[in-house]
Amino acid sequence: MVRSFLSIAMSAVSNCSLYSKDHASVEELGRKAFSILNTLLEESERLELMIVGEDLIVNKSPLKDIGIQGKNLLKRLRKKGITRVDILRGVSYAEMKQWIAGIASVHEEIKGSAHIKVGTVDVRIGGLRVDGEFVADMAVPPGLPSVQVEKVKDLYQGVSPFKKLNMTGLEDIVVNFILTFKREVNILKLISPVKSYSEYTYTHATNVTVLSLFQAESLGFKDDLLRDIGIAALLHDVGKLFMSKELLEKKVALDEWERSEIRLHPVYGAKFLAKMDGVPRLATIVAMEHHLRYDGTGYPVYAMGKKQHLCSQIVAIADFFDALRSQRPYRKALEVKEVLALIKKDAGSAFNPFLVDNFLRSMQAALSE
Amino acid sequence: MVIYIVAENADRIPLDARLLGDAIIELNISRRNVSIYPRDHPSVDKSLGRAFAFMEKLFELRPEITLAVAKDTLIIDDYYLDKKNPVYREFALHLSDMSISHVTFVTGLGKEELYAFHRFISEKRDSASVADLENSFRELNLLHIRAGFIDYGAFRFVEGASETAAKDPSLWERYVYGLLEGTLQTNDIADGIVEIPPDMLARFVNRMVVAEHKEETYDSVITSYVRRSTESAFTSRDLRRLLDFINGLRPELKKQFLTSTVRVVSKDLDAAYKSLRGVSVDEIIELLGVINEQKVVIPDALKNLLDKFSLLPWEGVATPLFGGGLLVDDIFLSPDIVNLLREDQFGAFIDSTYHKEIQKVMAFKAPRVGSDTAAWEQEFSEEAIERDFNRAVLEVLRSDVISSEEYQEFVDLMREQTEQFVWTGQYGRLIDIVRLLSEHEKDERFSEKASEALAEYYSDAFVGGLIESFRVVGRQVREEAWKLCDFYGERIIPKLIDALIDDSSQVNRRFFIGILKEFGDRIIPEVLRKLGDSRWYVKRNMLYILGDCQTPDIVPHIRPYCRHENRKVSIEAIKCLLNVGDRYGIDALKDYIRSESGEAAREWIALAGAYRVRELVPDLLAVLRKRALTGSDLYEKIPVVKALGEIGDPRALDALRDLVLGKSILFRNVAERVREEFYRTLKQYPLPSVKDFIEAGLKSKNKLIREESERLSTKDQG
Repeated sequence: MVRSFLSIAMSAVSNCSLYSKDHASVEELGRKAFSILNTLLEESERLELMIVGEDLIVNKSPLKDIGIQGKNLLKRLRKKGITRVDILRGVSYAEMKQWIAGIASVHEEIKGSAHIKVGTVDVRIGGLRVDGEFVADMAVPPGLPSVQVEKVKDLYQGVSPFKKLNMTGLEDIVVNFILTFKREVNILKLISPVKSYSEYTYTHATNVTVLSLFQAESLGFKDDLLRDIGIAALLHDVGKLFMSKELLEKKVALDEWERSEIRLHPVYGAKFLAKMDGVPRLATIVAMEHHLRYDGTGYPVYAMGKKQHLCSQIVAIADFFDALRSQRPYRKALEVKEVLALIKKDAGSAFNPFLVDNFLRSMQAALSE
Repeated sequence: MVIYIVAENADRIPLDARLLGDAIIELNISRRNVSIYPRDHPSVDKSLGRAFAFMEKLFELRPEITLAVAKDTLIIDDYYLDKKNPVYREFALHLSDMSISHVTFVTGLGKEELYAFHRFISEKRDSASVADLENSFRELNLLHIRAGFIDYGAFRFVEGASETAAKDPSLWERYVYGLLEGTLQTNDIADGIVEIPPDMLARFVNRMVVAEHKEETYDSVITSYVRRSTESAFTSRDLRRLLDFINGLRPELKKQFLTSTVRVVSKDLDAAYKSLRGVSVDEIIELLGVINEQKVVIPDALKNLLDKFSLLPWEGVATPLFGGGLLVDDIFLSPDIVNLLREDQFGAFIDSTYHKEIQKVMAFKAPRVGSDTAAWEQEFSEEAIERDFNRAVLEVLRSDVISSEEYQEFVDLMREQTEQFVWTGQYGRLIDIVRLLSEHEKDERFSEKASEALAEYYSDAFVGGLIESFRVVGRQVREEAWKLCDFYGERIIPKLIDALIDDSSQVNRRFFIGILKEFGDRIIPEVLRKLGDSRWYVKRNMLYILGDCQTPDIVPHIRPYCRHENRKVSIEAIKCLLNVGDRYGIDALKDYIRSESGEAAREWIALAGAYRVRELVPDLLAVLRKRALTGSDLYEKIPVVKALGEIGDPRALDALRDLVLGKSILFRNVAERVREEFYRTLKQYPLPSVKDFIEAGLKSKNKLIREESERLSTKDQG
């Protein structure tokens, strides 16, 4: 029954996010979820939802096989910084609806209410026996900076990045990425084969990440979205892992068969990433689409046609810029002005004209400083 | 401070831990065998024997072996077994799945006990609570295996708090750490020493009775207080807190705690080295000052380390090199990777100019462009990402680069997504999935797997779920819902009809009827079958749906219902026949008009008008000519006038002329209503035949009549 409640409540959240909080489907699903919730609360005074690691703990027992909707709930709550939700008997439909809208909203916080308590989970550890007087002293003033907040700071400094850490070179970026990704998920194991296979691929991935985050930040993306864009950019060429070293490092232009082989790397990349637990799904999309073009051409050809995702459009510009600014065995790097001119020329066909405009302006401003 | 043991440092694993590592591998093999084969299978006996032999060796070193489990990590004493080892991980996860936080094997352990334990941890008990699992374990009565179960009561609720990145991977480790240390609190007294401000903690410790506490207690406080250093580099802030705490202590305690700090830090100099890189020279000098002041003895190695750092210029967070390798956090990068990071290697791809450009890009704070980020954020919403992810997966499935196992994996993945698509009305995604599977069913490559998957998408349960979702979101995404139904075709029609019959909501019924009507003639067989249903409203709805079907084949099936006892049924039946121009329907309607009266008659007359049945004009006129003895009689003529007007047959005009243009002395109000009704439909008659009506109407004092007449007069003149 808990699964059923979560599934329907999360469907309401999804509809709220897709349509609006007042949409009839949200109302309908919300009512259904509320009805199940009330049945649950007849048996127990509260429904305790707790996130510990990757697990969802319901009323102090782990809930197994939570499915995509359960995972979706975990992800959304984590994004909001919530790891514990207690729903108490007596909860009203209005309270539940507000909770659903809070989970669905990108910007709004999830507000607690009289019968829906939200917060975080911590482990109770003490190193000493304490006397009564100390218990009173333990009333730590609210808002005290905690270890968690420090962690968050570290995390964000790691992700969005580079200026705050006063990095002196690309080496530091690489290290920083490794640190960052180690915290997120063991992505190191994804990229290390790329590193050892083709050094260019790795430096290219790093540069593309820098250039993608540069664009994304100027567009106003932040926090988790920025992080996901960074990860997607770093992994965009991971499919090259499956290409032969000879092919990747060939010093002459590729023949037809070799080109068709290389053109498979988005599919290999997407296949690889789609199967990885913990990798943002955006990374799969970008790996698949970064060679699609704004006008719908490019490769791989989607059977049903596909508009390139905005993140793929961002990465495509970064990818193009870095590829032409880098030296390859068979050609010299182009000058920055030449590359920017080429990007401008392809605005509207290969690239999103708005993003091109933003990229050109931002690059010119950055380089003129 | 917890020491991480990584594979590269195998020589530092204590003997029993290494042995236990091997034992765990054997335990895991035997666990697997026990889960697959019966007790008398040779593989079970053999693997149990090997695991048992390893345990025996361990018992020679220790009478009890305790394994703690931090989700996917096994911990022995203070040592974390290599997290990357898949066998340790698998074994740990099996224990975690049973909510086991620690297990102790005791000397005297027998093979049968081990077998029973393996059976226990291999069983699937998805819906069992921790208490259930604990009881089941207790019932096994294993004398030489003790298991502790996770106490979720120890996970404290911090109401109102939020963490921008609530992804603390160390929660499990902290839990187990507390468990091992015996400091895990399951009540509300202690909230974690790390949360306490240094001065407050010092005040508390100052009040303690010294005699009560041993060395371990001081270590415990220190390790708890600097716990953060187990997870990431020890920062300047941590050291500041520690120094503040120590400075706040009574003199005699100051030394004790400082000694403890030195002891804790000295346990792992590599970790200390890493940590101290993040601490400023000033802080280190201050620490050394306090240590000297208290005359605390420092091990030489730590002293050297502190001296080294106190002399170095502070470089912030940097990474130490070891033998050509680079240690980043606890990741050891091989020398060849480090080589890659070197400037000269970098130049092979990135010239110095580009390098500088990238640096500038990094240093530049790009101004925000004025744009509609809300629309973009929508593109990054969970739902939109899920949709695009699905499309990418479909393309992967279309490609030639996947194996049969991968195909199955992706099909399973899509199955998970499907529920979300269904309940959010993203039926287009579902169509693409099923369409692809249908294509693959015809191919040789994955025919069998595609066929299996399709069977599920076409199952009664799944289609039933679709129908349920229609009730919730169908109306909002009607077009997509119809496309999906069209795609499912005849398979979904019976379910839709059942839904129509059962649904109590008029709005939903209208939706289902609308969808069913879209099917056109494809709906006929199922609807005709349902016509036999005994419930009148089912018959009525089926006839209503058939109303749009133009094929004459349905006529014989419908005719019997023209004379049905329930008027709602017979009306729908006659409508169907009128639609296909069947004479039987007209005759039935004629009979009803002639024989019925009151409300029933009004309905039949209205039907004749709505369907503009010219054949019924004489019958309608007959009704019109009936003498009106009362106002009510006259009132009854209004629907007739209306019906005749809708038909617009000039044959009716003579009779209407008497009624409309004649002077009425009695029932003047009703007569005026009759006139108004006539003028409302006047435009339906051929214009030349109603000129006298128009002229009369132009002179009327009734506004409606006058305006209608003016309109027609203008039209006539134009």
